[in-house]
This record gives sequence, structure tokens and C-alpha cells, in this order.
Amino acid sequence: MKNTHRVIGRSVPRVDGHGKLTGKAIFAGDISLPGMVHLAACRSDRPHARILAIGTAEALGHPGVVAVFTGADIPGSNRIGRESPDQQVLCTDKVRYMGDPVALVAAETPEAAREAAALIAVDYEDLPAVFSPEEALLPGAPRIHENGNVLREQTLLKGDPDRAMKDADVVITNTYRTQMVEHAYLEPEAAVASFESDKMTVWVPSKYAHFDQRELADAIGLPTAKVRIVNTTVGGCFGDKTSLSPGYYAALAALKTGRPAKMVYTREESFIATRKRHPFIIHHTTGATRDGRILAVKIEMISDTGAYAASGPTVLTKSMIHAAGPYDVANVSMKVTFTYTNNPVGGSMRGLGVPQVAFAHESQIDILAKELGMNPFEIRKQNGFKPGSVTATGQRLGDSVSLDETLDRVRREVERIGTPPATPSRKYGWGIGAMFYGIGAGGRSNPAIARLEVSDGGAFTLYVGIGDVGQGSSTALVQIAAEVLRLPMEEIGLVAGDTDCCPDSGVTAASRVTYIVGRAVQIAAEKLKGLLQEAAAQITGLPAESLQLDGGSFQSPEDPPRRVSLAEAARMLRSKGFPLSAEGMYDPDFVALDPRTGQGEPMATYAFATQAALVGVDTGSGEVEVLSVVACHDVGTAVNPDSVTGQIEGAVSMGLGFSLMEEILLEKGRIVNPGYSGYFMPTVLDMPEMVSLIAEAPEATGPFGAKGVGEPALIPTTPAIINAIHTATGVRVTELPASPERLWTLLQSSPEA
Amino acid sequence: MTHDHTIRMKVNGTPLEVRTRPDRTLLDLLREEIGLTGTKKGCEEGECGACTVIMDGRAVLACLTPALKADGAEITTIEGLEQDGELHPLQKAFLDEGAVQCGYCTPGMILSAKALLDVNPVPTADQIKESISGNLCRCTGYTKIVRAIQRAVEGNR
Amino acid sequence: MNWTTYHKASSVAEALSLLERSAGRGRVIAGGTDLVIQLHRRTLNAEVLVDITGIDDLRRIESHEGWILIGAAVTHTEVAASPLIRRHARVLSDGCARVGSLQIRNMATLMGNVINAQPAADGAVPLTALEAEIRVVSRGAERWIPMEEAYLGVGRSAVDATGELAAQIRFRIPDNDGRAGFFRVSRRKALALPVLNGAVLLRPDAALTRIEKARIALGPVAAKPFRARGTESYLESGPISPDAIHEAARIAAEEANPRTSRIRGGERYRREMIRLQMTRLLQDLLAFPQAPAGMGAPTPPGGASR
Repeated sequence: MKNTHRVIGRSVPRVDGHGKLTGKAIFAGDISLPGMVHLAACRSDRPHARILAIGTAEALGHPGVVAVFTGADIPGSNRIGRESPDQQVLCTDKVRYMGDPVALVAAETPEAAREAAALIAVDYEDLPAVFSPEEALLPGAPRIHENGNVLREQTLLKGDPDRAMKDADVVITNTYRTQMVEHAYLEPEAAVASFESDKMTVWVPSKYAHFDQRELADAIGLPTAKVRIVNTTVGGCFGDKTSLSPGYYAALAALKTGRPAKMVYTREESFIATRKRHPFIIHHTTGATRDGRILAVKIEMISDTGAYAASGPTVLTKSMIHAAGPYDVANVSMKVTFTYTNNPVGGSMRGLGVPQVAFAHESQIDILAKELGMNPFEIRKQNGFKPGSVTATGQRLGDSVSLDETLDRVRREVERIGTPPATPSRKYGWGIGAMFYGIGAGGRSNPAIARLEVSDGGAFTLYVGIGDVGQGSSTALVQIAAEVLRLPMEEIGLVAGDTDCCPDSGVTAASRVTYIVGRAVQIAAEKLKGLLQEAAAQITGLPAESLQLDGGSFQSPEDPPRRVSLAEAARMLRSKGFPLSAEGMYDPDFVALDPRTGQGEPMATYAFATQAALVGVDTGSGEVEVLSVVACHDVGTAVNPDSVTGQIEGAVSMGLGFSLMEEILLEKGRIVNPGYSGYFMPTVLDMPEMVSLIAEAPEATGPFGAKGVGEPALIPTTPAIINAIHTATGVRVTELPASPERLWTLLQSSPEA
Repeated sequence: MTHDHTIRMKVNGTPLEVRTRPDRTLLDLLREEIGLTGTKKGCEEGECGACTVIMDGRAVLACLTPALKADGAEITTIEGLEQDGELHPLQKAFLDEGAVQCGYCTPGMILSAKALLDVNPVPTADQIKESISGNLCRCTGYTKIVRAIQRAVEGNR
Repeated sequence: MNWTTYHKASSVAEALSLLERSAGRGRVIAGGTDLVIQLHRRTLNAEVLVDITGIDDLRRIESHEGWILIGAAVTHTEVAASPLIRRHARVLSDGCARVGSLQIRNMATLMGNVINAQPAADGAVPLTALEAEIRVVSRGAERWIPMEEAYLGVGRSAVDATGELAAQIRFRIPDNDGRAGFFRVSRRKALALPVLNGAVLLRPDAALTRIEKARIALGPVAAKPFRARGTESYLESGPISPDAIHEAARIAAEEANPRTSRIRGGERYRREMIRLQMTRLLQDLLAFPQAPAGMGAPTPPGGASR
């Protein structure tokens, strides 16, 4: 297909590339204001305890200390939590995990602040604690919150799975367990705040500046209009860097001391204090006919949401929507329970519960294929979604469904690459994983607003509330505006994530930015272009529809054409008293999920993908090396192909870590490995050869047909690797990560290996 | 607070004299005393490579280097690569290959790669990977970073 | 506040007199990659740091009358790249090439790897198998300490870095016909602490029927790099055979004492990995054909060398 676009579909360099390559990009930790105080938090070293008293005298007397704050000093609600405000900026009565913030020290240097924080004497009364979701559900379990230990329970029912299961020739039941994972972005959390002329400005890497503005204002006790959040360069987020970032503490200290305040988490604090990927326990039953058709799926899942709700409800809903996989199954039942524990808090992390359920459904379908003697590609094609298929929530899919294409293209690559011959100690095998992923929040409104302005000199500036978290969204959004206006990208300025001048574009999450914010940008650009075209029509006296926009001017059809520059058109608009800006708003259609049956149309569009992994397994040691990964992703339209493949490659490394090496190790609520020296994520030497393929089935509602890829790219990697281990060794790993020791233990008891 | 030590060093070709507390690291000296914040602080325990700079021709971790150890040394940081508004070939290659995402590991990556290319202008793919194996990246999966370094190497052939 | 004074010594004598004047509050710093972390975390304290990396006498790798001598300021990168070491003690250059990361190896010294006294040290484990000694100098005194006596416990060196200077490492050039190897097990391929490591030097007779001398060190399976003496004497006691290799590996796994660690793995698994890695390395060094499934590979994950 020939690309007739100017910049859409082209791998233009990133708009923020130059700054990031020269050291000029400003991250929050790079900001220094005259006279600022430095902050450190005193955090709970108990998993569950009542706070009896907080002794601050010694800390206050420490050299260099300016002030010490506790929850009692906070003038606002002291409450945060986007989905349920159950967390405190500084705990007043109770701590619920090791890391819960109890007090804050402001000092002249970061060292003095940290030293003083260690001198704060908190008098605790320890309470019985709960460290697993199973324990949390036992009758008589210690109550972590007043309303009990269940954050939420949700069910789904489609068709008659009990009856269909009886009709099945094959029924496969397994239990899968996934581990707690850390985002581990390279930039630790940081923020700087300044309170001047009654206005609080907070510079912070944020994934949702407008939400932070509202929540921070409420928590600290300021009118929303008196808080300005300025998004700094975000050094990675992957779902975290959300509420209760150090911005809240910096704002509190700036308010109370009257001096600018800065807080930078240490790496250890970043591990201890921030949110994690939810660990899941998944009981998954699949019933199928002898010829491979899946008749029914029954799933029960429990997840540990840790000490607070955080994004638990969203992760729960998203995991349920996707747990049956990208397969047309007529009969489905699910029950999902999220429980509180005294472990670190589960939050949003790339994929929002779907990488966990994909590990289960993709293992199940491989087990089924093996049982029936079928090819893993064939069984997926037989059951996989096609245009018009119906999902587990009862949603009929539209035209932008190309799972089949991704399966076919990956299969061709796998056959091309082939499998190395086994040696006595090393076995090789390919495995595949398929997935679908709904773009945006599940079953609720998630609008985005974007604004485009033109000066009377013809200079365009795009305003969005959303900052680039590294994935390239700023570049994609400018590409979209540039395409509509037929302008070079350099001619469109961007202001992103400043609540004083940008509209609320919603959150950077759920792979929604290109699709939803991008659509809002496209609408804004088309509106503004329409206004300017009308103005050009007035100037020329020609009908607006006869004018073509290109190269910065409207041109009439005659030869030689008459030209009206965008600047002239803008001046004309201004002279008539029109605003030189336009807003676009987009909120994709949805039908909320029925609370009992889970039926509804939660997302307007879905992405599809297949990945295959080639692994070499050392059968003596259980060590796994991933040699190749082939990934094919249906992204609707690739706005910037290099950004898409960059997302795929990055997600594969994260998926590889999730599969084989990453795990937050807990001992009674304490993280045993809070740092890079004990938390292993892949290095360059651990990465496989990558083949990244893009499938394009344009989505009618997306900007120039685009959907999303950020999270989808991670989802199939783990099942592909785990299925490959099975192909190579005959051993089935049902608990992540597939560490050498775990795999070795399985290999010891395997007849095949 | 004592500011009783003077350090003389050449940073990005410019001779500097900096007075500093004795117990600072080179990383703090660069970022806070000299104002070169392009060198990033990722872990302060030598496990991520974000603070990599070139000291007397070798890639080192500024977070583990006492500032006073660098007295008399020549240091290159990310700010020293661009010359007269022209990106260094490595920077250009990173931009063209899409090897930058969040940008936090980027300065350290580029300096690790530069330290290699300065002594070995045409390295093998394995040597390239080895040169950045002490630099963690959570965004890119390294694929485009390796390709970008290879692209810069092409210019050295 | 951490250290208040930092000296760059230009001679060993100057370093010693600086330490003496600091009266216990001073400490030798070489590469500093471990020490700076310890000082920042306050697990160690020092007011005066004496940097010895500028002392020319300590920057040399040399051979002398059948010995190799490595100065205390020599980095892992320099050891790993040294033609002399690569020719005569590949097991040491291979170990040094696996320490930390490239940037760490560029700063950290091999002597520091010994003085930091971690049982997993990738430089110290081969040095233990090489039966190296370190020269410790203090005002008016000098002694050579064998590697095995250089440790008081985990993280505790027998060298008092507040008053003494460990100046040099030496070992006899092994007469082992190049039959030496290093293995390493870790959770990823770079930047990872070793789950296990080991160094083996064998001197077989000319006909490859017996082993005249075996030296084996393993880590981290004890409070210091562990000499597997039971395995050594077993190997020296009988003819070379495939069965003897398996038995030697079994003995190594039995005499080592790996502890269960959440990060490094369970004791049983780690013992089995000693057995596996030792089997593979011994097979490789003695060039036996591979054993059937589960045992033996052309290249162990740690990368054996000869």
C-alpha cells in the first residue's frame, strides 16, 4: 500500500530527540531553585501497625534540618487515590505496608534530610498482618481496611459454560501464578515545588498532570486553580509515576516552609515506596471439541492488590475483559477477586493485568493443541478473532481485526529461521503467544481534549495535557497535526503537560494516547484548518471547498493558482474577531459492563498481535536463553514505524524479564531486593535477535486509522517464551518467573527431559 | 559545611577550577557544582550506568568516583559531544535510528559507546554489545541502540 | 558528612605516613567502587582517604623469576587485557573480565577485589586457585599473606586498610599446560552477581593418565573463596577417567557449603550446579567426550577457558 501521507507512516526523528541526546532535556531531578530545601521521607518499617506517636524532636535538632512534618501538619484532606481515595500523603493512624510514609523532613541538603528522617522515632503498635491473598480471604483474617480485605469482586457470564463444558471432548484445568514486578524506569521519582504569590507550581514527571493538579490541591489543601503542574521530561513510567509522587511532598514543604522544595527518591526508595505489577493466581479451565474448537472457558482469579486500592479496580476489569484471550468462545464464566494485603501496593503497569492472564490463556491453548495433536498456529487461527467475532464481554468486533495476518506472518518467519539441532545438554524450541488488547480505559468514559493555536504570523502551537513518557507520543501527536495542516513538523510547536495552558487530555495509560489524544488532535487540527479555509475563501472570493492546503498556503484550482498563506488567513480570522484556536475532543464509544454478567462493550477498538520466541534451554542447569523473537502487531496504522518497532523491542525486553528473571522478593512484606543489584532486568546481552513486523488494519475511529501498541507489545512475549520452553523440553512452567532453579526442578521430575 | 578542596579538571575541553566539599562524588560535582545535569543519577550504586562519563579515556561511573579522584583528570560528558551545533556522529545515529525513548539512559549509553569507538573505531557487534552491557535501558530493548552504534561505526570505515 | 580529606599519594612511603598520621581514621582507597558505596551507607567510616592509584610502583604487571606480580593499582580491565596474564593465567583474566560492568572494571582494582573480602569475588576466586599471596606493607614492616589467610570473614579482610597497604599480588606461573578454566553462573549475562563461580587449574602428566596437581577454588560457598581441597586430593589420587570426573564433581558439591539465598537460589540447586559446572569444566579441561543428557556441554554458561 503506497503511503500518500506527508509525515504519517514515516519514521521521522523524535521531536524531543535533540534535547535528550545532548543532555539538555530537563528532568525534575535536574531542576535547582535558589534557596530550596531538600526532602526525605520517614517510611514505615512495619507491615501493619497502629501509629501511637511520632517523635520528631531528635530529627528537628539534627544539623541542617529546617522542618519536620507529619500528617497532622497537612491542611488538606491528606487523602489520595484515583480510583478509591484510601491512601494518605502522610499516615496518621495506621501503616499498612513497609514503605508507607509517616513523616517528612525538610533540610538544607539531601544528606541532612535523610539522616534526620532516620532519627524520627515512631511509636508503633504492631498489628497482625496478611501477606497473601489467600490468607486475606480467610474468615477471621486481620482486617487491613475497615470495610474488609476484599477490594472488589467481579463476575462475568456469557452463554452456559457449565453445560458447554459437559459437551466438551477435552477439558483442561490448570493453575497459573505470576509474580510481583517492578517498573524499574531508569529515572527515579523526583519533584520540585515552589509556592509564590499564592500559587503552587510543581515540576514533576507525571502521567496525568490535570489529575495530579486536582488530587494534590485537595490533599494539600489548596484551591485547584492555585496549583500548577508542569510535566518535566519523564524518564520512563510504564504505568507508574502516578499519584503520591514526590510532587505532593515537595508541595507540602514549599507551602509550609515558604521555600522551594525538592525531593528525589533514592533507587531503594523507588523500589520500596512505589507501586508494582499485581501478582495473580489464575485457575483456568478450557473445554473444547476433538477437532479443536473451544466451547467454554471458566476462570477464577485472585490477585494481591497490596495495601491500597490504587489502580486495582482498573487492573481487575481489564484482566477480566481479556482473560479468555483473542478467541471466539460462546460460553464463558469468570470470577475475579482482588484482595488487600500488607504487601507493596499493586498499581498500573504496562498491560494492566493482561500480561498475567495472557500467560494463562496462551498456555491453555498450547496445552489443548498438544492434547489434540494440533499445530499451535492452526488452533489459534481456528478459534481466533476475525472481523465480526464476539468477545467474552459480548462485544461484536468491527473491521480492524487482523489476528490472522499476524499469525500467518509470524509463522512464515519462524519457518524461515528454523530450529537449531539439540545437543546433549541444550535443547531448542519455538513457542508462540497471541493476544488482543482493548485500547483505553475499560467500560468507562475516557475523553481527551487537545487545542491547536495559530498566531497571526501563521505559527502553530499544539497544546495537550499529556507529556511524552518516552514512548514517542509527542512526536506522534505533532505528526498528526502536521499531516492535517500539510506542514513540515518543525512548523508546529508543542506544549505538553502544563496545567496552566494545556487542556485535560486524560491519562497516559492503557495505550490510549495515539488513539484517543491523537484523534482529539486530528479533530482540533481539522477544525482550525476549516476556519482558516473559510477565511481564505473570503479573501479570494472562491468557494472554500475549491481551495487546497499545501506548503503553508491555500491554493485555488486555476493555473497559475491564487495563493493565500496560512498567516494571511489567520490575520483575516483575527480581524473578524474569531479566536485563532480550535479544540478537539474525543471520547470513544463504550457500553459499560453489566455488574453481574460482565457483558458490555468496554472499548471501542482492540489491537491484535502474535509473537514467537526461540529459546535454548540448558537441560542441566535450567538456564534459558532467548535467541530470537518474531513479533507482528496490528496497530491500525503505524503513525511512526520506528516508534512502533521501538515499543515492540522494548516491550519484548520487559516481557523477557517477566518470563525469566524479574521478581520482587518479599519476606513478610519486606522487599528483599530493593535495587538493581538484586532485581534482574535484561541487559543488552540478554536480548534476542528481533524481527518486528507491523500489520495495518486501519481503525475507522482512530487518527489516520491508528490504534495503540505500547502495552500490546509486552503481552504475548511471556507466553511465547514459556511455550517455547515446553516445545524444547516438554516441561510446562505454570509459575513465573521461569528461573533456572524452578525450571531445573521441573526438569528433574520430567520423563521427557 | 566545609568547601575546603579545590579541584582542577578539564571538562569537555575546558579547564575548570571548582571548590567543593571533599566527600562529593564526581556525579554530584558535575551536576550540582558545575551544572552539567546531562549526566544522570540512576541508582548511586554502580548498577545502572546512567552516570557514565569518560575520564582520561575510560568509561567510568561518576556515582562511584570521588570528586577528588578526578582532580587533574580530563572528563567528557554528554554536553561535550555536540561541536558548533553539530551533533556527534553517535548522537546523530541515535536520532536517526530511533534509539532514544525516555532519554534517561541515553547520555550514559552514548558515552559508553564513545569510549569504545575512541579506541576501536570499527568494533564488532559483540564488542559494541559488551561496551554497553553495563548500561541498563528499560525502554528500547537495546536493539535500536546497538543499530545506532553500528551506524556510527559505518561512518568510521 | 563523610570523609573530610582526600590525598593522592605518590609513593608507598607517603601513603603509609598519611595513614600513620590519621591514626586509625584514615583508609586506603584504590578504585573505590566498593568503598564509596560502603562509606555512603556508613557501613564503613573514614575521615581521611589515601588514594594509591597514582603510585607508579603499584601500576605494573610484571613477571619475575617464574612469578607474576600485579600491583595494587592495577584494574580488572588491565588484568583482563594483559597479554602476560592471558598467556600464563587465563583463568585470572577470564575472572577479571566478569567483574561488575565494564565501567566498574575500568576503575576497580584486582587488589580491591581481594581486600573487599567478598566470597563471590570473580578476581579473588581465581587468585585463590592460583595460590596467590599478597604483600602487605606497614611502617617498617612487610609480609606476604597467602590468599586463604587474607580473610577474617565475609567482607572482613585480614589487611587493616587503616594502617597497612596491600601493595602487590604474586603467584607462581602455573606449570599446567594451560589446563585451567573459570566458570560462572548468574541470573543474567552482564551486571549480575555470581550465583556461583569457580576456578580450576590442573596439571596432568604427559600421557594424560593422572593429575599431578589440582587447584580448585569456588565461590560464594563459604565465608571466603573456598579451596576445594577434598576434590583436589581426590583428583590427585587416582587415574583420570570419566567416572573420576563425576566423582570429583560430586565431592566438590559436597564439600562446598552454599547457603540458600532468595537471590542466588536454594542450597540444593546450588550444590547441583557446582556438580554440573565442575563436571563440565573438568570434562572440557581433560578433553573427554561429552556425557549423555544433562551433563557436559561444549561451553558452560560461565564460559570455560583453556
